[in-house]
Amino acid sequence: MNSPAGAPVRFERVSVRYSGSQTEAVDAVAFDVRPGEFVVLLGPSGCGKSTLLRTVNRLVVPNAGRVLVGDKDTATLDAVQLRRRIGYVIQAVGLFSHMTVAQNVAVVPSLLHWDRARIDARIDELLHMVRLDPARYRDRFPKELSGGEQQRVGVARALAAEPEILLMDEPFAAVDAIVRHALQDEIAEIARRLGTTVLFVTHDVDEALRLAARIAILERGRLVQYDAPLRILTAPAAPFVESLLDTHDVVRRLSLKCARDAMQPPRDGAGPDVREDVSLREILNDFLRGAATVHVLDGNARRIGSLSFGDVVAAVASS
Amino acid sequence: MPPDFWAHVRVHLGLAGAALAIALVVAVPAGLFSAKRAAARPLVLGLVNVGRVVPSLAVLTLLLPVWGVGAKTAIAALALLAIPPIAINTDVAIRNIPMAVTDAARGLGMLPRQILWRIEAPLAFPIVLAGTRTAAVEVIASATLATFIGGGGLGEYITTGLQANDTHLLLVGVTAVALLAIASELAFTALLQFAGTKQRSRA
Ligand SMILES: Nc1ncnc2c1ncn2[C@@H]1O[C@H](COP(=O)(O)OP(=O)(O)OP(=O)(O)O)[C@@H](O)[C@H]1O
Ligand SMILES: [Mg+2]
Repeated sequence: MNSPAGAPVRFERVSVRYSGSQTEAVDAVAFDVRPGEFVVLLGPSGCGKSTLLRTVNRLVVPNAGRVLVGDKDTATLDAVQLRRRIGYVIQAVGLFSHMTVAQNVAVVPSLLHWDRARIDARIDELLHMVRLDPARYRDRFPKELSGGEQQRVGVARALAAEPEILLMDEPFAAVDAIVRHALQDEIAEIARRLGTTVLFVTHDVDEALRLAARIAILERGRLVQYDAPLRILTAPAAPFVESLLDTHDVVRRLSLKCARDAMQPPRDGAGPDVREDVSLREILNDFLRGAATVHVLDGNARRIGSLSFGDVVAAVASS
Repeated sequence: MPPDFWAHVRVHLGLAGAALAIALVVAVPAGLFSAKRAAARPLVLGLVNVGRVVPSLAVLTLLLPVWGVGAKTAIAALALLAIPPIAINTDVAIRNIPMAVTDAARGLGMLPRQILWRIEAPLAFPIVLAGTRTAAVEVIASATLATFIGGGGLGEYITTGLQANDTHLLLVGVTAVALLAIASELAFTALLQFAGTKQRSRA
């Protein structure tokens, strides 16, 4: 099934102040998300990540500024129609406990009045996509699933009607590290394959580095940096970003590991050579200069492996 | 067994059933309203509880000058009695639905009425049904009092039995009411269980 390519999202000085609150939960945030791009909203608890995310499907209405989806101001669109084009996954999953897995996944297609056969085929397709065997899982109820399986159903439900945009609010926070890594890999792969634009909320720096094409870092409602993971690591734009990385010890972990710890089997392709004992932190400079691949040499100048930026992040995040 | 026994049972159940039906029509929307409007909750639940704090006999006495004797007054008094458990359970049932669930429903693009009928109603149903079970037992037991205002029902055996010192008649009345109450409790429990298994085994 061919999915429409993802829609672009644009935040134009978006501000949200909840009634009864003295301060802005989101304060004049402005940035662009390209079609099909995977953007992570990162920041500590209460910084406004969920609020900003929810302006996209108008569960939260900005007090000022505009949110554009597919170049249209969402204020001019019908909120319910808009939401049916946007997948939404939340931490608490929010599966409907009185419905089976199949019925949960079918919610949006039914709202869109797809015919029965098309819905049935779509349910099986989606369950395969999130690695749940339809024969075994279709007719189960959510309480008969593990936390990770529930999250998978949540993802399948959000993808059901081939959304142009996928909003994910700390979707993997409640599962253990191994399942989380598996789900991260799967969602990255699915999003890439479908070309869906993804806005993904987390307060986990490793998760952000692993998944994001670009990371939007929020501090008390304000956007402090919006950049690729490599730039965030090598050129933090504010003390707040440094301290965020510090708290998660990312830089130290980069310094502690060397090329040998992160390298993959040698690959072809142009790229600078580094010695196997050079720290990952130093290697980031090569990526900064535009290298896609770095080759690792042993003491005898023999090529023993290759490294991409993704390999570096993976090595750091899995420690 | 008195010759008019089944007629009395029918009247008794008729009174109870009518009262329960009216109570449902009033109490479910009231409970829904109080669940959705936190500001209105004390007022709504306070009003609803009138049925609980005012004894049925007092209600009957109050209604008598308005509607006179007869089934209508009796049903009104009984309905008042049945409203609180249903309204309170509806309120609790709706408020107990996790925020994440209604949030997800809205986020997926459901209209408010679709959220009500497809999500909230099925999730609240068992708890509302349990409230109705409580109300039914209360109403069946209290319908015995209808006889005081000419409403008929099994209470007649009890009053007549007491007046005529007829222990047999008295016992028929008391036993029949008790059995009806137990039967209704069992029927509702079975219904609840059925609803539960249906939800689990639908395949
Ligand atoms: N419905 C609401 N009413 C009033 N204030 C709210 C509401 N939702 C959030 N807030 C406040 O707005 C601010 C931002 O909240 P938000 O939920 O967007 O943060 P977050 O970054 O998602 O945090 P977390 O990581 O804990 O989920 C917080 O100060 C929060 O208390
Ligand atoms: Mg949040």
